[in-house]
Amino acid sequence: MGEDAEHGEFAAYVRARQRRFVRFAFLLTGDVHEAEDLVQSAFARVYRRWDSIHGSPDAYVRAAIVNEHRSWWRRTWRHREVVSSPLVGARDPEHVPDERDDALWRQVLALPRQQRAVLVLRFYEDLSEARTAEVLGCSVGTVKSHTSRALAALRGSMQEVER
Amino acid sequence: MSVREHELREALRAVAEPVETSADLVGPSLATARRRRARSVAAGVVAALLVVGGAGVAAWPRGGERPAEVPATRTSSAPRPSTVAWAFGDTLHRGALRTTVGDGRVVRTLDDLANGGLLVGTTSPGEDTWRDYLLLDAGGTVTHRLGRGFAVASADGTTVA
Repeated sequence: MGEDAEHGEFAAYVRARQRRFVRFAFLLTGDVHEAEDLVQSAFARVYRRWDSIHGSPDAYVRAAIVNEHRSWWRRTWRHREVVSSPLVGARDPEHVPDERDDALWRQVLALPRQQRAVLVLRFYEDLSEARTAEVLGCSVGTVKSHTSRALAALRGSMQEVER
Repeated sequence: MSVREHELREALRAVAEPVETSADLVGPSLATARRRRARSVAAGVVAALLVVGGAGVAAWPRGGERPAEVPATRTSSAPRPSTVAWAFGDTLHRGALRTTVGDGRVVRTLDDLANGGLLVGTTSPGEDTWRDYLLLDAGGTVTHRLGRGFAVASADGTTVA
């Protein structure tokens, strides 16, 4: 494929999928701005391998987002960020969240990072346990265990919230 | 009350649905991104710059050094060199947009870039979803205007911003 065609194809893919992946990344991070940065970094990685990707690139992008998120988390510089004032979330101002959805989301955010990633991949991306394990680079057993613990934690915390 | 899987699924969708991206507003054009790429090819730079704010994608293929310096201008009338001292309160222009550094929010500062510089993200007052990133050297000089919606990665795959 020529460079122009390849470039155009990638740009079209980014345009078509960016919003979906930002939403996915938002569920991992809980922050729209961080989600955008994460998605852009993932696209940068995928772009380098674009001509060697066959079939749907979604799996590559999804895995790149998850890995990038993990590596950001590990890097100390993420903890040295200085935020001078609260960021305004890029959310639809017309949207009024359902009270229970909102409460549940807050509990999801409180979960350990890896458990949250498993829940997002399983229940937002609708991936199987096997595909989730591939993306996270762990065993199916680990995915099952994280899912079970996360759901148990959510049940417990929601009971507390609703008391 | 228990949390059922379908409830969780619905809650995640409900939370994610209203998320909008900066790309939904404005973004650099693909033509601009490609001009950047062409310029970078000539310079033989290493880093890959990907602009995905809406429509643009640009890449700096493998080569030798960072992207060429992009001049930043200030509102003061005197002509400025290709790099200018950055300080809170400076007003920087980019096309028709104007950013007052420090008057908008500093989204983040990173203090471990390879050259000891800083990456400063700002939003302009009243432009909450628009962000502009300035790469500053160790002396606080603006060396690059990266624009909004970008990612920079070095050739070895280490994302620096």
